Amino acid sequence: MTKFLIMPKIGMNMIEGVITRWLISPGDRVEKEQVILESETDKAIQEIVATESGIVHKLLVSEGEVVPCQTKIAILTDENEELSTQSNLGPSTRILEHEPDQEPENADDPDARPILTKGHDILQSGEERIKISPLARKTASVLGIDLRELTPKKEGLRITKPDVERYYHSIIGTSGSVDLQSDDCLSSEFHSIDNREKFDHGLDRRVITFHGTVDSEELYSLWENLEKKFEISFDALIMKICAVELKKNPLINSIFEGGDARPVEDINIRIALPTENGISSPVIHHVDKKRIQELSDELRELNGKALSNQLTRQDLSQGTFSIINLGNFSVESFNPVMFDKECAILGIGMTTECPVVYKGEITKRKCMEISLSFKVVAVDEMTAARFFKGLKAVLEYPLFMLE
Amino acid sequence: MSIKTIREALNDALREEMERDPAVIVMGCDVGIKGNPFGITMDLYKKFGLDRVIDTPISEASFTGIAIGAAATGLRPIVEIMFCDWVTLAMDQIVNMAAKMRYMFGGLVEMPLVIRVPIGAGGGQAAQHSQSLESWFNHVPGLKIVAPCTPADFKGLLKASIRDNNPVIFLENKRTYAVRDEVPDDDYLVEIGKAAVPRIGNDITLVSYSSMVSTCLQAADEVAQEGISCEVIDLRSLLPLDYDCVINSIQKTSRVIVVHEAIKRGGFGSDIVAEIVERGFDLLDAPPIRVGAKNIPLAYNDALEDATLPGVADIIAAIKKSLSDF
Amino acid sequence: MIKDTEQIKRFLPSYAPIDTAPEELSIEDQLTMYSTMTLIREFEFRVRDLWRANKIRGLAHAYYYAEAIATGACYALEKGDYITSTHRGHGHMLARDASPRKMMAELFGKYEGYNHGKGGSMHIADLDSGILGATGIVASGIAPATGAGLSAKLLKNGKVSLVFFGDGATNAGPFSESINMAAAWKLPVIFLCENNSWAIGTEFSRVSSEHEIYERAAAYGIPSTQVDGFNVFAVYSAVRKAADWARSGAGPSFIEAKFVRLLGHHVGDEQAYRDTKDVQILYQVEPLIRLETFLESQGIGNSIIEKIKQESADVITDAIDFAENHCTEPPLSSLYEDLYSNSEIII
Repeated sequence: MTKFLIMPKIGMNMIEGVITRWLISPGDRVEKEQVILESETDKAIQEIVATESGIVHKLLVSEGEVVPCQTKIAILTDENEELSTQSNLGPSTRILEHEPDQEPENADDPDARPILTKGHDILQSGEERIKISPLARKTASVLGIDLRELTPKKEGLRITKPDVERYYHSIIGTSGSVDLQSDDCLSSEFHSIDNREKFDHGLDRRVITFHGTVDSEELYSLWENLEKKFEISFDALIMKICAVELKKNPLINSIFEGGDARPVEDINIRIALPTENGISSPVIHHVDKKRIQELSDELRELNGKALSNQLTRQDLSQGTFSIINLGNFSVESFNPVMFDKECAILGIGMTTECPVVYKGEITKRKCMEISLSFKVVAVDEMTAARFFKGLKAVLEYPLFMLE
Repeated sequence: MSIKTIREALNDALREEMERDPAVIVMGCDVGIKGNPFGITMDLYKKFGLDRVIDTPISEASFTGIAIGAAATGLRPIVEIMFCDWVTLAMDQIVNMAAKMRYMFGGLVEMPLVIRVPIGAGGGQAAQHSQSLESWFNHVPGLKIVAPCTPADFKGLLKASIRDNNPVIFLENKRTYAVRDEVPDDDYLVEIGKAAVPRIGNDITLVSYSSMVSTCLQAADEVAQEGISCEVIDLRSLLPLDYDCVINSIQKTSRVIVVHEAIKRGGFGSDIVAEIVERGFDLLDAPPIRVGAKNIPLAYNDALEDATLPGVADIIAAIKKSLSDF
Repeated sequence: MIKDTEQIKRFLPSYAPIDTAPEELSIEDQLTMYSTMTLIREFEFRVRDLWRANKIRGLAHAYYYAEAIATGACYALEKGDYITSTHRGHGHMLARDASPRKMMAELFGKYEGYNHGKGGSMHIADLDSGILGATGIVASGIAPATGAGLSAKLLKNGKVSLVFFGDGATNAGPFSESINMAAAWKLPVIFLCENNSWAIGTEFSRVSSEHEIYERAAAYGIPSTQVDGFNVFAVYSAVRKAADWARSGAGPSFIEAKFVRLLGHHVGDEQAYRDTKDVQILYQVEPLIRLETFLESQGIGNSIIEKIKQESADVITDAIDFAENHCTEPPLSSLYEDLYSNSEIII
């Protein structure tokens, strides 16, 4: 069978990639998931893997070319097979290869099987054609719905977009029309190379953001001490606090994949770092198992790598929760946007001195804005609120971490 | 702004343009002293003389040719072919000379020519006095085709066509010259190539031109009572045709019907549907439907006539069919 | 000297010998006319060679042996007057002082040709030289030429519109319609029929009732005359008279320049349908020889004649060199150019 290797879409906003270096040649045997080429972006070198196995027949694009996602980039064949268009025909159709000016055989015979010229689109024998409009087909594809799940309003009618919407809402319990133009679930503009397969948008794309103000006097005085003595960064402290709370609220630490959200054991926190070209977001793995000092060192190292464009795939992959700290930029609060596959993100806003009621008296304390965005499909509002409450408490009184 | 009939609006446009530019002349059978069988050129000769409002013999082929030669040498003629059916007599000159002289001669010649061609079937006029042949001209690069519906658009588009330096086929409807509506009093121009949307809706797009736009609006009113919301597009120009307007509408409604009085097979609707499908396949929830006259010459008898020509009922049937997801 | 006038007249009934030149034509004029005729002759025979060598595409309808008509007619017109030409139009263009270089470039399909390569042999136009263009559909130029007369009348610019057409066109509808309207409205048009007796492979008399074409036109009540188409001065005088008539506001006239087509319909036509033995005699009275003989009888030396011929040949050689070696192909980007006015592109 003839198969194609496709340029994958890695990350929500990737529309094209450059073929920096082919690692395979015609004649090579390739296994699915094998790295077949390197694609350099301004953030990192990505390794693109094969989506099929087979023998490389032909490379369709050359080094240096920029190709849109979903473009076919190579042809694979099975071993010992000639590239042929006839090979996937069932017994119910017959291909006639003839010169254009020759009369096809049986032209006048009404009982002859359907005759097709070479290269014509052929249905597999027995395959039912689904009666569906182009718009409905596209809507279903964008929403990740299998066409076979859909039914028309009435038997025998064409499936249309309202039918797709009907199915979609029946799964997630909402209503209204699906506008293919808008996109509720943007991640920021970087490539998460966790997601090498086609991105599943999921059925429910609702996102909620909680905003809160944290009394961060204690947090700051703790950090000042740690910084002076051990050169520990603020972000590392925040990460640790988050890890502690995530352990208590595992649903927040979920991965969204294949239309489904599931909590994972490893707590790998992604931290957004500013670089010249925008945000770079490496991941620190197993934050819960590392000491703050380690976290701080690793963070420093990753920052260095980010600035010199040396982050590897491993550095960028498998995040389960993200933090983005805009406190230095005078941003008070904002709605942070999630990264691919993750279900929650914490945004840190700026810290100001504000008048508050503390222990019954009006006084000034440091106030820090935080915002938590999360996907409703992974964790409901109550669960998220519990996490938020716990997080806030620890941020206000870090010694709670010791519980 | 005044209330005027299409006849008056056309007469105004002709008079104003002839006043404005002494190179503008009008030619055709009975355009002078009789003022055209429908009164379109009424009394123009009194103001501009029979030298500029020229009564011709029944020589469509050659007076069109004469207009072509005059256009190439400094005049701006408006030729009237009395009934669209007889444009066949002038086809050689229109297709092989007017449409091609500029291109063949490498741009050395201007062809500022307007050819007025009334369509409009019914009333027992029978087969040779009822045809709508505008789709033939779609097939001839070098021409423009314009097909207004409202009195205001007739004024604005005739003026624009006269001022355009290209040969323009100007479609009128001989059965709707008495339609009345608001017309601006000033030097009102409508841009050639821009459609109008006289009715906004969400469920289905009706694309039409000339008097069938009014029929579409009637059909839209009727189905609105059943909760169906139609968007009606008045193309106003057929070449160049405002596909952006059409596609934008279909993006909203995802269903479309093209309606014209001309016969369905090979009519303008066929090309419009082909373009819609090519440009906007993924926007469609249903196949586009064409509504036109049946593929037969128009009979004399009134019941047969009614059965042949498209009307409100045919448009409503097409709307329902499209929405039925057949 | 012509041997047998009777025999000549059998095949060319309109034959009229050149005894004198028209009064108003000086020797310079006559030599200029001769030069034009040799230019046309040379151009057309070279075009035939180029076509046979596959360097020119499509069709080429040669004007050789008809030079007297184009030359005589155009010499009688003013600079601003219009002519409308046909598929057999190279002679008309050259007689109207079109540029041989730009014509040849157009035949070679080059961008520097008159029509930027868009027209070819049958559609050359040059408004500056008063050439309203050539059209390849028989009789399709007659009405537009009449229209040029209409505009001349309405714009009062004193111009005259002369339209060339062949005997075949006189049986087409537009012929009658146009002459009728021109006559009815007294338009300044000269209808000049180049009657060479042949419409491709059909002789005129086989498919027509009234064989004397000028009689048909006379039926419209306009001045109508027949002249010897091989006689440049006869054509000149007739057109001069018609132009004066038209400019005076008296309306159109009709001239039938009657001759015989000696070679094929187009440069690749070997005339298998025709017995050309009989007309061989007419080579004795073909236009160039006629004028040459007359000029010599007026004392013009042979060397001058030869010099003029050589100059014409050199001009054509230069034109071919220009077209072949110093011109460019039209760019693909010019495909949609000039379809609509003001550089508007509608795809």
